[in-house]
Amino acid sequence: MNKIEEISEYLQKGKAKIVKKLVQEALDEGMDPKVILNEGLLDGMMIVGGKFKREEVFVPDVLVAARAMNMGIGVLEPRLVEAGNEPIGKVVIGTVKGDLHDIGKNLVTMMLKGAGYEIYDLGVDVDAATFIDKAEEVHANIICMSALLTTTMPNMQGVIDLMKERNVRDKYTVMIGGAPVTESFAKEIGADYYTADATSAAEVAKKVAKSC
Amino acid sequence: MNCLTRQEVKDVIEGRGAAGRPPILFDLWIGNNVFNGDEGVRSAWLAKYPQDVEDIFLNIPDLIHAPADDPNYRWAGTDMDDMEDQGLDARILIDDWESEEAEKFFETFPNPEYKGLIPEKKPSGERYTIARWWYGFFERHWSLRGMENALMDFYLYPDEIHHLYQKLADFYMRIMERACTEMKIDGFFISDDLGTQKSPFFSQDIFREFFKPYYKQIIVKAHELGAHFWLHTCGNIELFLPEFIEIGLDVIHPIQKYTMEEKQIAEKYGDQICILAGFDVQQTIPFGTPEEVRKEVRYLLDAYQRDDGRLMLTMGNGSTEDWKLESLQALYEEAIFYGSRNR
Repeated sequence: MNKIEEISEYLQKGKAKIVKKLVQEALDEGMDPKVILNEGLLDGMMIVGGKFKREEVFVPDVLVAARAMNMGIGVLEPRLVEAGNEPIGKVVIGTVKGDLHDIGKNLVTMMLKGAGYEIYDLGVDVDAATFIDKAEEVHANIICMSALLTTTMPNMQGVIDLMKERNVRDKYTVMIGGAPVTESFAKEIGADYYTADATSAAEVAKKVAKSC
Repeated sequence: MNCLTRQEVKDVIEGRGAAGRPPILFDLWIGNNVFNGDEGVRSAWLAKYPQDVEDIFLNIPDLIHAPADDPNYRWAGTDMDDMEDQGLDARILIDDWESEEAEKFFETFPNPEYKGLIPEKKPSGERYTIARWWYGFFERHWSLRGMENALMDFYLYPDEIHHLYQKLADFYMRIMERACTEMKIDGFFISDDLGTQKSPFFSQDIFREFFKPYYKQIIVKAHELGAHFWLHTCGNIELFLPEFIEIGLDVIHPIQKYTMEEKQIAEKYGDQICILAGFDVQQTIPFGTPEEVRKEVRYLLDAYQRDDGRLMLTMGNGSTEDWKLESLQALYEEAIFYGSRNR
């Protein structure tokens, strides 16, 4: 097994300290930081995502893998900046106004990061203007919204309505998710995509990046 | 409205016979937010329908705030600010298990002898009565650590989690003893969401190591006290259900719609545990018509109803402002009408 494969393997096992050490060794051996990122860390994270989608692993496994990915990226980051590495796109994400649920949105964030996106996480209880202002500020490609409650789902519509009012609806891909959210609800409010789980969200976001 | 007797409800739970209709417990999850916050209107409206089980909430500790007469009767070990601007599952009271704050947390663990534990207003004792508290093991764990830390703790801090869960089990067992000493209690009902919309939060290995032993302790304690043990656990938890049955869980709620298949659950487990079927609150109640509500009631009853009991009906979760009264009316009417057929 070569170093890159080792990084991917240990990331999948959630061994953060080993991943950090291996990334440093790979850099010291002169490996391209972009290869370490894409073929080691992000590849490992996408494999975990696939297993999660197939219910072969569970949320704790995704979390410890993401923790390992973040530790590896921490080592790589200065070299990636030097190498002029660009993310595949930018995502603004948050849980909509009135809703304080966090974990589903955070899992999507981890998987999108694993897909190569730069993430702007606005947290919970986010109002419509904040989503749009941040997307405009960072020139995002995607706005992702989460809701766990039937009473807060309509606030997703509010974001889309405000985007139309400000004539920016077509600038962004809108993705939504959350326990009570459905495909038909996404169609009804004019969102571009509904995904049922974090891995599916990352898969869709990767396709969106390719089409940009 | 006539309610079922204590014995009829017990018989249903234990599979000793169905009553004239399934016990109806919708009221336990219908709050005054459906009635513009008016408790009087709520009570009057619900009085038209059966309320087969009486409930009482034990005054378990608040996360942050302690009562004046016991500064340690709270989960936080030290003074903390409210964290209302943060996600429910992202508030972190214990940042690091290897810190002084964690030591303080264990040292100042709430005392189950706190005199305010039992509410002043006691249940009437006329009907089957449950004592409730929310946040069992996993929910209490993540309320202290934040959801992400809590889920990783199973891998990163197993010893600390065993320590925490045993302390919680000891606390819970003592408050159960006190509740049964001071009131007539027929069952305990706690919450612990272990599932997501698609699957359990964690693996069967984690369940077996961290949950099964401690659940067994409190379920055995309930039985020693002559009470049933009821568990609310949202999401898809089918992976854990056989082992909950093995350790003696009496009532499972809600078998959440869209996460598990009702008929399959009924076929596999319907003769081994009482299903407190939770009516769909993600789609049918907030967005459906009264006729769709009636259809869903018939579907649930067709799936779960048995001659030996083992079925009670309630809501899938607590009420939100978008619940419609006409839908709730249809729910009650159809549950009584269709639930009584051939009885």
